[in-house]
Amino acid sequence: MVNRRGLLVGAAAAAPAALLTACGGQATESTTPAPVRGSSEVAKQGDQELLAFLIGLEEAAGETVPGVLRGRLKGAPIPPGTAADGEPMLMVAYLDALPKLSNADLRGLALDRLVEHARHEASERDDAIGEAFVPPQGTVA
Amino acid sequence: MRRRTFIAAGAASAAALAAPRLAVAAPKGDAGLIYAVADAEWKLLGVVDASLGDSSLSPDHVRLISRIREHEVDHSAALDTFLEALGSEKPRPAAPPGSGLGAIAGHKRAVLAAQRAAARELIDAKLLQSIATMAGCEGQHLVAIERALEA
Repeated sequence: MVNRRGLLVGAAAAAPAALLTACGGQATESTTPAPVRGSSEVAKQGDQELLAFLIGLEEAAGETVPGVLRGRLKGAPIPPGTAADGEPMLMVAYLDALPKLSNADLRGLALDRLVEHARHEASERDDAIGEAFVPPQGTVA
Repeated sequence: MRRRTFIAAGAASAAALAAPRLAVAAPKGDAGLIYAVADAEWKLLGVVDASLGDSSLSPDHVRLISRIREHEVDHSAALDTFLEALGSEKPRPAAPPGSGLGAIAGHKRAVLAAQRAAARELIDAKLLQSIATMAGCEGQHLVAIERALEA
């Protein structure tokens, strides 16, 4: 079972500390391997758990998850999200999740959500173009 | 971390990661996907440059396009770095016709489509995250363009 900490910790080599802290985890606590890519049952299970995690984050942030994304969840329990930092947190969560998703369609949907959150974040600023999309502390090292 | 630093760091790390892999398992698919994104990006840049030479545009629009150009130049440079690391040719398509914010928005959507296609299949995680970051940026540019067109 991949927990939220494992999902975040394994997703990117330099997962932002703020994100880990907000989700109640520390990098050293997870020993769970990342889901493997491909069409195996393990990969499918990993995708489902990651999708449930992302939906939990969205709901905790008060977002309405599009039906096209929610419909891909096949019974995996949605963990209670603890993210409360809004759009930047959600953008980083999707950025971290993308390489771990094995299913191409799910990846496309995840990118759509990332772009949508980036758009929302920009529309909340007077200067929409300003410092366009900088994940807190930088996720890609 | 400033945006340029972020993109540059992503490009540098991707180059460092991708180069040693070539001898083991050349990610041919990744190179093709990145090439398609770069091709769309260079076409966009061509329209951006044409727009900056369009005397019919308002000063406000020119200012916005100039700022957009800075980001697109960063993106193009990063994509060139990725392709170089992957041992791929770099696209240099002819600038397509058209200018102005509407034309730029159209080409931005084409870039987003290429980025989405790449995100579905890319193998290298760092490349994928760099492309996703650029996609987020394009989305934010579109917000600024839509706002300017409505003003």
